[in-house]
Amino acid sequence: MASQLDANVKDDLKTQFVTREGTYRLLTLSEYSRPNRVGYSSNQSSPQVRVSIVTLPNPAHGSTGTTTTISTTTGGNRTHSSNGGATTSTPTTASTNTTPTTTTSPATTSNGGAGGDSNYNNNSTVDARLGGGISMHSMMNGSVIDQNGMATNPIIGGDRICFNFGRDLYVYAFRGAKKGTEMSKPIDKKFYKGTNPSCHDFNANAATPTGAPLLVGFTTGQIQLVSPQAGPRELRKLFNEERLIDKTKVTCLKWLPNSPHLFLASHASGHLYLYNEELPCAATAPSYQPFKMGDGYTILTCKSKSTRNPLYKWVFSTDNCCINEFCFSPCGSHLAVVSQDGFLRVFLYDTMELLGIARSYFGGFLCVCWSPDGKYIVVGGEDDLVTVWSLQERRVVARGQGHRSWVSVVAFDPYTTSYTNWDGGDFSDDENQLNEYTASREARFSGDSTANGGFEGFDKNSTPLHGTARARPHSASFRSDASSAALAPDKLAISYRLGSVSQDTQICLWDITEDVLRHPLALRQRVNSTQLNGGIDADGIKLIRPVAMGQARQRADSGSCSPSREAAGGNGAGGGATEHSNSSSSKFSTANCTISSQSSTPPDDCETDGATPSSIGPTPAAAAAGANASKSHTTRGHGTSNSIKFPNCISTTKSDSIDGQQQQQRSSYTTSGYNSKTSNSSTKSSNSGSGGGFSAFNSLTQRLSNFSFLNNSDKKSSTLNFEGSVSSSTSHRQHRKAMSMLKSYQQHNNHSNSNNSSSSNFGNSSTLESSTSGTGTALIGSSSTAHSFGSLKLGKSTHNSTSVSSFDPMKLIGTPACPRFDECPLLEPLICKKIAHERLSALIFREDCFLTACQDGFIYTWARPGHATHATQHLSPSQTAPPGGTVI
Amino acid sequence: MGANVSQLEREIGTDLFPPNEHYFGLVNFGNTCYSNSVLQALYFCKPFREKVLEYKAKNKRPKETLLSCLADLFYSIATQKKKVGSIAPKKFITRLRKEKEEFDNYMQQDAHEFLNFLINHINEIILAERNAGPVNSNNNGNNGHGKSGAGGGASGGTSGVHLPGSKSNSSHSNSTTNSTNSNSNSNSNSTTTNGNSSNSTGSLNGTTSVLDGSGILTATTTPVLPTTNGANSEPTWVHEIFQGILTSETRCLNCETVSSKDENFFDLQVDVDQNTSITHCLRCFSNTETLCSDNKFKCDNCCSYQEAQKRMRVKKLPMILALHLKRFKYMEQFNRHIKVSHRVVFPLELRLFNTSDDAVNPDRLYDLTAVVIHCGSGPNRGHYISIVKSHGLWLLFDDDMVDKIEASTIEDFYGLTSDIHKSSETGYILFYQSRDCA
Repeated sequence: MASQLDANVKDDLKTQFVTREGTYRLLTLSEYSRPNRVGYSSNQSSPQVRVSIVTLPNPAHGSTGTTTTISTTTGGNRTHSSNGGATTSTPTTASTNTTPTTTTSPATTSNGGAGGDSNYNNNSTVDARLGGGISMHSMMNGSVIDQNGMATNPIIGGDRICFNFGRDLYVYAFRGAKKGTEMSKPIDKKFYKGTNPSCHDFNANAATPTGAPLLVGFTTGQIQLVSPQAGPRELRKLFNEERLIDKTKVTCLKWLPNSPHLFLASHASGHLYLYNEELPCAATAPSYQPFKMGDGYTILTCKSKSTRNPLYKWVFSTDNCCINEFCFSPCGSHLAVVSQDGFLRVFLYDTMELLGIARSYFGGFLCVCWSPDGKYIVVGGEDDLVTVWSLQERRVVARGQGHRSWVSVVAFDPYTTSYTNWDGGDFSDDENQLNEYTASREARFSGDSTANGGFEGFDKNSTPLHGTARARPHSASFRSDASSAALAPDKLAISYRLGSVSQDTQICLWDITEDVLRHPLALRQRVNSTQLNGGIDADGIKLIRPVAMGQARQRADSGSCSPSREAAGGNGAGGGATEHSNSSSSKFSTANCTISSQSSTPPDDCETDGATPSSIGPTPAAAAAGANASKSHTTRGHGTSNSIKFPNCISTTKSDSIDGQQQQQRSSYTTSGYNSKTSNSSTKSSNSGSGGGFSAFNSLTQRLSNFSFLNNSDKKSSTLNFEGSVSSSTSHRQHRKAMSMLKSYQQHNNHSNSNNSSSSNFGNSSTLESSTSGTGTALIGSSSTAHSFGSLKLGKSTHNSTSVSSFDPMKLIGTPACPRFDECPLLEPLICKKIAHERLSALIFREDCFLTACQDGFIYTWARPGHATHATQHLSPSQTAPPGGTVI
Repeated sequence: MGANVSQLEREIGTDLFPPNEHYFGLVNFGNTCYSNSVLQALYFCKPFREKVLEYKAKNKRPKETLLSCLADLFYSIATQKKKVGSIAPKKFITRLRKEKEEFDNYMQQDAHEFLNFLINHINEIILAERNAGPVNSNNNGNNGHGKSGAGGGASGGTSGVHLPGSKSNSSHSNSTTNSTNSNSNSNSNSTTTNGNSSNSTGSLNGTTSVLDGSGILTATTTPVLPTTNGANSEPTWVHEIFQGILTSETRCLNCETVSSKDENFFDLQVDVDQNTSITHCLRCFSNTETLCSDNKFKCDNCCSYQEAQKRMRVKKLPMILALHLKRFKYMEQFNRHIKVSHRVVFPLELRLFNTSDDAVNPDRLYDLTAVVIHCGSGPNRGHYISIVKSHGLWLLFDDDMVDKIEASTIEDFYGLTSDIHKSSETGYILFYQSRDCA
């Protein structure tokens, strides 16, 4: 680390760098910037230069691109599921139809494609008023326009790239790594007076071969929808024109995945708005009524009788909550929001439930990105760190230190994320495994297809319904992979490739491997006495988990499980030695995650899941399992009911694990993490980390130590639980844990699962991913969720008290939402290169290249190894001389 | 100016105007912006203001010192009838010019030098007055304090006291409170200012009072205690607010022995790099440095000069962390200091990465409360202003002018990414206040 710091910052800029995949090269002919470059112009206080990119459907096929079709279906679904806005959903679905139409007839698109919108201008130059004293001057270039106003030579298909610089906005045809840029021929350029574009987003779902709808947000709060395509331009719509909805800067705009008409806009005010592009903005300021209250956030909806924009307004309760970015998960079901208050908030979008939070070590979070499989979220911020958060575990699992300044963009590279093949084996009796395997293959395949089908970050990639279904197997494959990897350490462990760019003008690439992610909390131990207290008090949120654990334990005791526990322990330990145990143990870390978060695993999977978790959640799980084993019957019965309740719990207590399984996991983690402070044994185990470590957990002593720890926490937890409640709920949790534990054990023992257990699993899975509405599971999940809604209310009251304080960073330090610095695995970058003179502001990975943007308005294309087709050229033109012919 | 003032009130809104708060500009007496900017920053460091006002309340008829003048100034701001306006710190400036001849002119001064002088000088005044008072009680207090500090060296969390206590557990709890204390402080202080340009270690006040680093690693430090100086008198409130402890660990490359010693500081001086964050600068501050050639380290174990590796990390985090960005760099080719306008971002919230392993409260969370900003092209020309956070509002103080600003405009003071423009408005001294004392 020191060496990095020592490295001379004034190095020359790198034009290539080497990783284990090979050499990445800067393609100087594929630079994008303003067509007429002047010398240095200060763009210091202008909005961040951002890049949007979209792949248009290929007209050759005469019909919709894959994306579009899929999206239509999903779009329908998804709107329905977000039933709160039922009003909106109907128009949406209906409108979906229009899009395909457009798509099929590219020629007509420019004229009427947009379905019912206003001003068309046949001139290539447009002056328009944006309201509020703001005007737009827009020029189309690069295509000759004949007397009919039709572009004679419109650029059809391909990719479009859009970026903002100062008051300007440019759209070019993106020609990838293969061809150079035609700098003199932007498809569109716009200059704004009185405001600056601050963000933008293409709608890949409504893309036509000639263009895609583009949303542009402004520093003054307005949002414009334009359709940048060659030919007569249609100037489309303005939202928040009179700034009645929000006066502050638009910080991020995203089309909803799979939706051609709905989009979300965040503002510096900290509010998030859902718009329907087809609805007008009324001329009066909206008046709101609460729609949903959650922990630290409120969702409002307009009071008016007729549906109007904004459909929803999300309000967060913390100060200085300027939302810096938000991002949908690849499956489209989750929404991650990062803000200046230093929080990452993860929502189940359709139900608007807060699933979890993370807090920066200090300062605001600036950027966010989902891993391609949706299991992890990476955020970057003003603490110069990249922070990895696990959806399954709801905790920060790692931090990366390597940047010298604020991290402005993080992006996973889905093409370099490595997947180890599952090698058959371990769970041979499980059909599911096989399914998973194939599914995972599919997933991989789908990943590829996504690559082809329009990039734009995963969020855009409207993973279709289908996609969701696949996504799960994806995770499943990870799990199995991980297990196999753990079994045979010489195999390539699964690893995610992450890129980050920063204001330090450097790009960092990171390999995040499962063995890091798998580490329990509290890697390194603190000597401080204060810590103990801190850990426990600070919990605030987490109190619940220990409770659950405690209860489980109680149960165990009451049930005279102790013997069984031991037995279980014995099994577990023994298992460690055996093949099964190995696989399970190895799985455990990864698998755990999978289980809870990825709950998505279809019911069939439950068995495997159960198995994994048990092995995973080392001590507690084992113990619980033992206990549960004895009580298995009761548990099962409850299990189902329990699963139903989940959603409530989720919404109220974020820290609280969503489902029982999760709790197990968590509890196991927490215990190991927090307890480790107290008990040496646990720490050791945690340190040992990989497969071996887990088995260690199973040892009796460890369990015991954990238990003792739990006792303390018990009181708190128990009180909490009981207050609210319905004993059933508490018991139900226990049961769940027990259940999962049981399952795992059963699996070990090759017992077949009873129907009940599987059903309980259903509940879990459904709760988590019900929103996603996976194909097979969807039905079940939805039904279970429905139930849960009914019962949920009870839970809320209980938890509210605990959760209120949860947004205090002083209390969060030392919790899984914000581990202390030495409690969290620290990653170092694979490479760290200075590639610009100005701060970097965008990073996009594509199949054959990646793009970086710089605050000085230059977008650079870097060819991946093997893709630098004009590598020879890249030396010839000097960097300063714009390649594409600058002069206009 | 009147119009200006009322405008501020209007901007904030009479309803929202924080009660019992006054935003008063300070009149410039000719290049006294260095003082005005620092005074404003200090005034809005809540703990400091409270202590100064408390001092004012306790000492009704004090002998005129710089501290009493400061107390009068703060008091007069805090008791103004109007909420906004401007005030002339005439008495304070006059006194300042009497106290230190460097400031007795109308030349541009360095705001950090002034801050350094002011804090140290106030500290001396307090110590001197304490000694002049009931000496015995002081002594008793000291001893007791030292012991308790030794016992619970880890307890310093919020109170942030125990400078001597936490360091001196093994060696000494003897506190001879005599006037040499203050002398030693002032001495070391002056050396500090001199040595600023030469080393990057930060201004170390009272370096002479360095004690043995209690039980760090295999520390074999010489517990040589200059008993005459024994700066381990009871810490003043200046110490409580501003003083932190750096521990410098030196590993002899010959015998591998690690020795460590503690040094007090009132602020940290960090080098700045282009396009970095203050976080990074602080980490660099604690980079391992190799002592070699003519800069070798005298190893007590080897009894000779050896090559060694040294790093400085923060062991006690102060209540108010003052960070001085070393933006005036001496360039030999020009034979003068030039301004380094590098863009260095500073977040509104900060934690330290460069804490030592035995740090008491390494997770201390700081909030940015004030920034002294240098505007202009060089150390001897230009202007100082300050921005402060008060009750959630950000205010810009430019001598007698006060303006409300948006938090987003703070980024204008990070610096420049290119060297084209000679003149810049850049953060120069950052005041971070620990949230646990807010």
